[in-house]
Amino acid sequence: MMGIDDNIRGIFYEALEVLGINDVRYSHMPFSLRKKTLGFDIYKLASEEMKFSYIQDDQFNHKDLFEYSQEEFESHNQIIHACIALVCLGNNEYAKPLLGYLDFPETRWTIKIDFLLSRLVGSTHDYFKVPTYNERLDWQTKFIESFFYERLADLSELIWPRHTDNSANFFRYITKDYHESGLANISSILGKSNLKDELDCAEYYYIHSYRWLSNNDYHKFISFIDTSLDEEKIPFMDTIVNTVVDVFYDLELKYAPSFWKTMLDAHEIEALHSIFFYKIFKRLYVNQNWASFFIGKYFEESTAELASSYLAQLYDKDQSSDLIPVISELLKNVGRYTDPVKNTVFDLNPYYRYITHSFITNMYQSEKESLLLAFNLRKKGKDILQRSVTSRFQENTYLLILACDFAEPVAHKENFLPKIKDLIRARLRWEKQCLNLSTADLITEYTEIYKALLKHDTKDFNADEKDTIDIF
Amino acid sequence: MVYNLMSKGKTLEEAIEKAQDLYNDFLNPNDNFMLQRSLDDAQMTSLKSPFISTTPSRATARSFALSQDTKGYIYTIEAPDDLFYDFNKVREDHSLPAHKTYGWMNELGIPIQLKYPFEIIQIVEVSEVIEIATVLFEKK
Repeated sequence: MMGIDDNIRGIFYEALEVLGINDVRYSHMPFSLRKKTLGFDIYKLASEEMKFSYIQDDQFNHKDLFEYSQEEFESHNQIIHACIALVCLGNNEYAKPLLGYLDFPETRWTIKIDFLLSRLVGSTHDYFKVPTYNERLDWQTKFIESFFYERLADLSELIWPRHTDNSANFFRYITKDYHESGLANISSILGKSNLKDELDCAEYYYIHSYRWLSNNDYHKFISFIDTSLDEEKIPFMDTIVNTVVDVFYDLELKYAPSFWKTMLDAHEIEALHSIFFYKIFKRLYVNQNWASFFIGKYFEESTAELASSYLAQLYDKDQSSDLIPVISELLKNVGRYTDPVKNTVFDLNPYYRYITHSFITNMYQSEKESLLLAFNLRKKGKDILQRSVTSRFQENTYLLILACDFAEPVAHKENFLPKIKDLIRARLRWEKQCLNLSTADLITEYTEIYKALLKHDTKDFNADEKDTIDIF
Repeated sequence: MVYNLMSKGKTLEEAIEKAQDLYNDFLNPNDNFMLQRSLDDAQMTSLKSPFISTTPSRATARSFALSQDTKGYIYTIEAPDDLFYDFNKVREDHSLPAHKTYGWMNELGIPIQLKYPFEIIQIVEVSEVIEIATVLFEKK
């Protein structure tokens, strides 16, 4: 009898086989880079199919298997296995599309999806089985209610060992390639801000971190991280953190936390960059209070007690939905801080901007996917999903209003206005069709929200209001 | 009949022809590699299988029958053992690994269509599983 880990590995390798991908070529890479590179290749392979057959355009549970053409079926086959492989690699935003595929009329697929999803949310059943209709409904409701924003369990270390026989040679391999391809030259000419591609970014940080850390040149390592970071690296924060953590693991650096605190204390690290350092060292030494260490570098706690408590939460929390109320409070109280504290708080503006953007993007995708599930479900479970979606909307609206309160000074409005407009349109359509709410009431309700969110003056608002009304 | 091979735009005759082609790969595999590919394809989706899928396990049959939100049906089919295509046994006989995801189903295939000597001897409608439980111990 195979165990849970074997089953997860089985699903993963089966997905790679379906996609025609041989994993051997990735085995020499360090852990996070390997995941990122393979994930990128899988995404590239499936992205065309995703464009044409993405579940938004389909209503699986109203069709039988033989109603799909061979081409449509193959396309779904690629997408579902790409999603499975990506979820196994820790990209759990692809778990949401998999939920939709639970209704695809191929029970053999739902067996795999069910097993994978149950592991992601920490369920303990360790065998394959055919999920019942109620179990599927339960997954969908649970995702909308509880896992809307949450990062799910990362199964990637169950699938691939962190160290492979080949991975020790990666530094030599990549530095050879690095010089031959002229990448070293390119990065020194173009400078740090041009490393926009995530994979290049990961390789860049692996090479340089490895170089300094393997030579025991820890001060240069800290300086390198501090000087190489800038606002444009924030979206790659997870990648950079994971890559640097890989180097620590690969070199088996096992100094006590106090050693690193002394090293870090010798440097004046920019406040924005301290978030990267925090995340690196928190991953390496989980039980240490790194938040108070970094806050202590910027100001005496007694002079900035209020800001300190919010900043500590800012370091400690991961989910953008948890961070929105923290940032909101931090900025709302800014008038009560001393000037140095104010400066530090404002130095973090790019991070607030990134969090706001992540929150709105995540909310946009999650709401659209939840609406799709609620729209398509047959009558039996519809009421349950509708309740979940409605309560989720209320929570989202509250967070969105908080975000928009501080978003204006820190975010580029054009980045999120179209998404919010689109969401409101989707909500209106859903509430009108599924909840049978009256058009007039809805327009009044959303007009108020719209005004509050976007802070338009009357003149600007009228044009947008017309847009909103037009969808009826 | 292998209706699943009648994907959109295909006639029944085309589906049978395709099923026969697929089935030939099982009867005359070029090598173990090809055989494993055919077995994997057929077990991963009914759209690539020339078999009507059955199982000797009633619990497995029941769970498939109840996988939608409607009642389902369990067909009991009889035929000499050696006429069913036993996926797990074929794998074992050819030293191929058990299927990673579907080995537990103990799948038995009926080639192409259900006709003599395969015979339906019972059809039952099932709507839900009722648990009959007697409490033997409970912490007070």
